[in-house]
Amino acid sequence: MNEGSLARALGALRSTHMPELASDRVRDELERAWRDRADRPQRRGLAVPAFARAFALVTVVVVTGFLTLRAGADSPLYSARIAIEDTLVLFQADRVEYVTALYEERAEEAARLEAVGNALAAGHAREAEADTLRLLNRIMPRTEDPSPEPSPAIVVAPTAEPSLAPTVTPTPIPTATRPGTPPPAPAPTPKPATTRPSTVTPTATPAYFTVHATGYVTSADGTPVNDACVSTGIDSSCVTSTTNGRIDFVLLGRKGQSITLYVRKLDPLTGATQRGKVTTVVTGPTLFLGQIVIRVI
Amino acid sequence: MVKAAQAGDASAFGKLYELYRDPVYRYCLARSGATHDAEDLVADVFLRAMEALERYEDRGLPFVAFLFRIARNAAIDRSRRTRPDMSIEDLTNDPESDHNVESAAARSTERQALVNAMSKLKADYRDVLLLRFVEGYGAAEVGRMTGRSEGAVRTLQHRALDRLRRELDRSGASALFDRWGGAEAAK
Repeated sequence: MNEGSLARALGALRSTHMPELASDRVRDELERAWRDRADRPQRRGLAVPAFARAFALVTVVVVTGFLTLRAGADSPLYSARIAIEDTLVLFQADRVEYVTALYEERAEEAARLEAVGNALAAGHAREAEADTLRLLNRIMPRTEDPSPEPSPAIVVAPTAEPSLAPTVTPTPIPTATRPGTPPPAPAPTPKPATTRPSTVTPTATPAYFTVHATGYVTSADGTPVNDACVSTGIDSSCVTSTTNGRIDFVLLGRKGQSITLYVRKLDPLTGATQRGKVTTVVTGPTLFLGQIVIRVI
Repeated sequence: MVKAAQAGDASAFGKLYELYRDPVYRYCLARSGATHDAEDLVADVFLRAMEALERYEDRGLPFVAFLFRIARNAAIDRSRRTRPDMSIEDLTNDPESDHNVESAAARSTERQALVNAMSKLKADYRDVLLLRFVEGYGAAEVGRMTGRSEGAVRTLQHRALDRLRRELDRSGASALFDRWGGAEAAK
């Protein structure tokens, strides 16, 4: 039996027909089903057409996205908004600029909520603000290799007057001259003291800029503290942490803006937390925090 | 006719049924191996086609390809539920009338042996044999229906025939088809 004969035998199957009796039975069944189906269009008519469903879905997505992106810190959608905004960083041509704008927006929102007295929402906004700062520190290109030069001078200066150094003078030069002769000292000091608040704030330069902050964290006995948490709130999440006592990170600030940083370090042996803080004013792209001594309070 | 049925014309769907019931029946018979199963399958196929009619889009393939695809799925669903078995009734239920009783009986036996052997083939083999030799579609058309190239259809067809021959040999039915190589073929 070759292929040809098999093919011909198969061809003979074409003469096989469905028995009429069975065909009639199927036809009846189909007629019944068709009538049942014809009763359904009313229900189907109520059903939304496919294009309308797709349109509705797109609308819901767009509206939800819009509401989410406009959700305030007091909204349950706020965390979703933060997540979306943070994800959008990946798609930005200038990530630093985008994150800077985000930081500005979140800081303003936190300030506004604090002013209104909504502490819970303000806390959320502050958390987001701190997260933004951390993000900025991650993405900020590190080109600050000139720091090794000022650091030896800074190391010397804080040891003499540790607590005064950060608040009084932003540059190490005046600290060197100050202890020397008291009479000339009053003359230069009033100038920055009086002019800075009056000249810097009214100029109203709301634009934030990146500030490279450096400083040292030591315990009361002067030993550098490693891995201490640096935050913008008393117990808020860490913006950065110290490495061999050194603080070195980037933040966003305005000229003349007062910034307070909190440092804490949990002693795993005693369970006690050593704390310290520093308040300083932003004067330029570099910010020397000085030596911050932490102790159990 | 399909468009009219889609628009809700019952008589158009009736015409589609009359037109395609036999090819679908043969397809179902080859898959199930039993006439009563094939009849139930035909009903199932056309009921499913009725439900799926709105979704049917003419993509240049014959409507029967749409029905075969439904039939294939329906047969798979059915074979999961039941096991096909042959009945004596199937052997005697020959729709073809013939004045010569002996000849009719021989053809019926032959047909049943063939259907039996085909029901044991892989679905792809069975489909290609049905479409090519029973329904008479060209290799290119079968290729379009089954998503294969013409060459692939020919290769598949060759393997399917070989497999069918072996199936008939195994059942001892191959001798029944000797006449197709001689006098019958000449006809």
